[in-house]
Parts: sequence; structure tokens; C-alpha cells
Amino acid sequence: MAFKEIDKERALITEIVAGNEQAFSILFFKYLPVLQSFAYKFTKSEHATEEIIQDTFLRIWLNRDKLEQVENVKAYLYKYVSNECLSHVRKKLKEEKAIDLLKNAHSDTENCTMDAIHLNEINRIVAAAVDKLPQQRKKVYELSRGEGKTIPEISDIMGVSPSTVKNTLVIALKNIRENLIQHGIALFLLVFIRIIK
Amino acid sequence: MVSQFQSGQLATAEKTELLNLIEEHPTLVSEEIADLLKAFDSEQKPVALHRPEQDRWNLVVNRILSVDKPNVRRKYLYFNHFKLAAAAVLLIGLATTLYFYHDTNRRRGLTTDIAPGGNKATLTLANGRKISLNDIANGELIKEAGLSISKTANGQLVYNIEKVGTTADDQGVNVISTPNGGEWQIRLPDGSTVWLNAASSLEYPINIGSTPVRKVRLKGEAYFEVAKDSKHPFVVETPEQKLEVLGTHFNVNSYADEHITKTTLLEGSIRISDVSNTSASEMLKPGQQSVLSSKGIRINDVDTDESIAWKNGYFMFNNERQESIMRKIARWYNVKVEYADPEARDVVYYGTVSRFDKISQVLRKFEQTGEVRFEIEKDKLTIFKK
Repeated sequence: MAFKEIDKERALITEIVAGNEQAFSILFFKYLPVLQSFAYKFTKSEHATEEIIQDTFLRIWLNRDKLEQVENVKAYLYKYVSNECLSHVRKKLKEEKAIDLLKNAHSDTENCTMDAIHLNEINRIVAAAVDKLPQQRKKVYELSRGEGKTIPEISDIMGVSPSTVKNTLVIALKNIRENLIQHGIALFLLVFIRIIK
Repeated sequence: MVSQFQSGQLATAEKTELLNLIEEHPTLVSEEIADLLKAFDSEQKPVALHRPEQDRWNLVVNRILSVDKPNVRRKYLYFNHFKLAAAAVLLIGLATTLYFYHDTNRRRGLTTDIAPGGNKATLTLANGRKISLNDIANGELIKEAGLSISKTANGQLVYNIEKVGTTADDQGVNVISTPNGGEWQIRLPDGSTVWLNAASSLEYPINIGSTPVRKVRLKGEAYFEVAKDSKHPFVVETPEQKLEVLGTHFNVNSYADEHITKTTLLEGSIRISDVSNTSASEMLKPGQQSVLSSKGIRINDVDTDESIAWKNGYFMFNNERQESIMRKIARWYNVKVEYADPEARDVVYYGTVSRFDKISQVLRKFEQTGEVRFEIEKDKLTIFKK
């Protein structure tokens, strides 16, 4: 049974790597209950919980091409959520420190989520990055993300092999990430993420 | 130490120490948290999500997925992010008017708070019996000759008709109605699903699956997912409008205090006709919205997300006037709205706010634009122009 479970998750990951949105949604809801209740228990805030979950899965999505090399997706997710929880504590500690210092000054820090990832901003940068892609790569990317076409479908439309399509998507995604880093959104890198054994 | 901090047990010095520890050894602390999470997982029994929860998270998934979509203009403005909100809120009309800042009044306004609406509804049976659906337990509600109605764990009503057309009772109609601050989801006997917004009612025959025409009557607002059945057209009658479909997804907003009937089509096709002028009739395509007023029917292309935002747990405003926004808020939070300054009615907003926040949190977003401020006294909400 354990084997079957793993195989099912493998198949799911393969679909996510190929850009299947539904597969991503299945993964999301599979792990949501435990991650959500942990994050809530940890932060005591629904808003923070939503932000932690959103940022975690956003990282997963924007690094989806790397998922295939990940042996244990659950451990990977846990690591990500832990990191997000950590940033939350850090942010809160910093805020409290700031408030301690400025006891009487008015503090409206509640809404200043400095570390928060701004989806609009990312979307804008992604759009610019896609625009800069070479013709062929751009077409493949737009068919995949814009029109939701599968890899075999794109391969038919463009008259290239499925593996070429797949490679093109991976490279496009890499380009996009590089663009994000250039704009200071390095949050997406897996730099100090070590996989728990 | 991390868990002590979370439960608020740390002294200031210890907080500084923890912060230093985090800054110096992020990996270590992160692994510590990961261990907590692993331990938490093994003792945890996951529970199913409720519908509003499910919808809220669906929205999160959609936000993530649309982030790397090319050429998609982002539809949502996040009020959550203060900086963005400040940039996002477009002030039209009176923005150039100079205003005076009454700092003393500023904090006074939102001292009392009001909880958001939730699942509340009344079911009226054919024999006139009324059942309050929020008070009763899940399971079977009614069992009469050939008919049983039950309420499921997520609050849905499910009809079971064993013998069609044999008893007088299943010729009758049922009415489900929500008060101010209520919403409800119902699955009709023909398999169609209807989400009913606050202060609305839906009347339907119990034998709806077996009549030649599936006809329901709506007051207020509802989102329909009609089960496909080309032999039995589905008709939604509102006081001003008649709408015919075969199987499709659409939203109808026909509140009496809105004075117009708005119908938004998400999938399939529907025909709209004016009750007072039967020759006026229009077909809608997905992504279109019809607006029926005393001047007839007008069709616009719209962002359909906006019209079903309520069903997904959000208020979504797209170039919407304060006055219209406040009608929605009044219905959901069950408050009366008064304008101390009439010009406050005309401020226009863009943005998205959760429907499941307390009223103060929602109103604060408006106050942050610097255009208006609010005072709440019991269930009376007064709006001032700043």
C-alpha cells in the first residue's frame, strides 16, 4: 500500500512538472489540512497562516521543474513551511522590538507585511520575463501557461518532440526565476533549504 | 523557546536572544520547527474542510497558479498589503477636494464590532411548516410519504423522492430563505446546486426533476449551477425578469433595493426576458452580464469573478460606488447604513476584501484610503467624508 501511495504521488509530481494545474491543486489540498493546522497553531493568526501556505506553495509552483529530483515531497513541503513559520516569528520579533522602542509613537505595523511576497509584483515581472523570451520559447510557454495546453498537445502544434517542449518549459521557468532574482525576489531560491531525511 | 514565544511567555531579553539565534542560525531553528511539524503530523487527524474554507483556499490556489501566467492582467488588488492598497485604491470624483483631518474623531469610530454573516437559513415546507436550518443537527430532517430531506455535514440540503407524483405533498413548493447575514447552499432534487446570498429566497417545486419545465422563483441573489437536462428547461423567475437555461452556471442579483436585475453567465447559454415586456429578450454568452432596468436589457462584457466573489467568500469591488458597496455590507453584517455626509456616497473603490472578517476589519480598509471614516453604534453604521 505504501508503494502504491508513493507511485501515485510520483505520477502527480510528473503532472505538476508538466504544468498541470489540477495536479498542483490535488497536491495542495492533500497537504493543506496538516500544514494549515500546524501553521495556525504556530502563528495563532488566520492571515499569517494563509500567507505561509500561499508562499510555500508559490515556491513549489515556481520551482516545479525541480520537483522531479525531490525524493520526499512531504519532507520538502514541511521544510518549506517551517522556513515560512520561521520568517513569521522573525518578523514578529522584529516588530515587537520596534514597538518596544517606539512605545508611544503610533505604530501601524499590522499591515506592513514587508517580507510578504507581492503576487502582483511577481506577475508583472513574470510578464516582462516572458516577453523577453526568444520567439520559440515564448510560444511554448504561452501555449502551456496561457492556454493550458499539455506537453503532447504543444508538441503537435509546434511540430517538435515532447522532450524539446519539456526542456523549453524548464528553461523558460529558469529564465523567469532569474528575472525575479534580478528584481530582488530571491525568496524563491532553495538556497538554505536542506531536505530532511 | 519558539513555542514559548508563540504562547507569549517570553521576556524582552529572551526575545532579543531568540531573534539573534534566528539571525545567526536560521537553518538550525528552521529544522527545529520542522521537527515540531513532523511530531504534530503524526498525532494529527486531518479533518475535512468546510465549504467557505474550501473556497478560500481555492482562491489561494488560483492566485498561485495565475502568478506565472503570461498576459493575464491581475484582477485582484490585495488590501492585505498596505503599500499596494494605498497605490491601488483609485479615487475618482472628489479626490481633489480638500478635506480636514479630525484626528480626535479618528479612532473613536470603530469601538463596537460586528461579526460577519454565516450559514443561516429557514426552510418552509409545502404545508407551511418552517424549519430553521442553522439550529438543527445534521442527518434526516423530514421523512414523509415518499419524500425525505436531509442536511449533510457541510450544511447542504439533499432531497430524496421515492415515489414521484403519488402524494399531494410532492406537488407542493418549498421555500428556502436567508436573513440578513445569512447564506446557504442547496442541492435541488434535479441535481442543480444553488448558493443563496444574504437576504434572499428561493422557491421551488419538490418534484422539480419530473416537471416538464424546472421552474424556480428567486428574490435577492443566487449563483446557480444547473444540472444538464435538455428535455427540461430550467427557468428562474425574479420579480422583473424571466431566465431560461438548459444547463449552465450563472449568477442572478435581483435585490429589490438595487432596482436592477443583473445576470452574469459563466458557462453555457441563457435567455433573459423582461417580465413586463415579453418581447424584450436577449441571449447571453459566457463572460457577459445583462442588466435589466426600467429602460430594458443591456448587455456588457464583465469580469465574472466579481459577480460570484460573494460565493467564494469575498467582496470584490471594481469601480464601485460607496453607496452600492454599503448595500452589500448592510445585508451581510445586518447593519443599517446612514450617511452623515452625502458626498461619501460617491467615493469609488477597486479591491477585494474577505467576507469572513469582522466588520471593523473591512471598514478599516476603506478608512485607510483616507476618504471616509465610520462610526458604529449597535447596528447603525454612520459614514463620514473625511
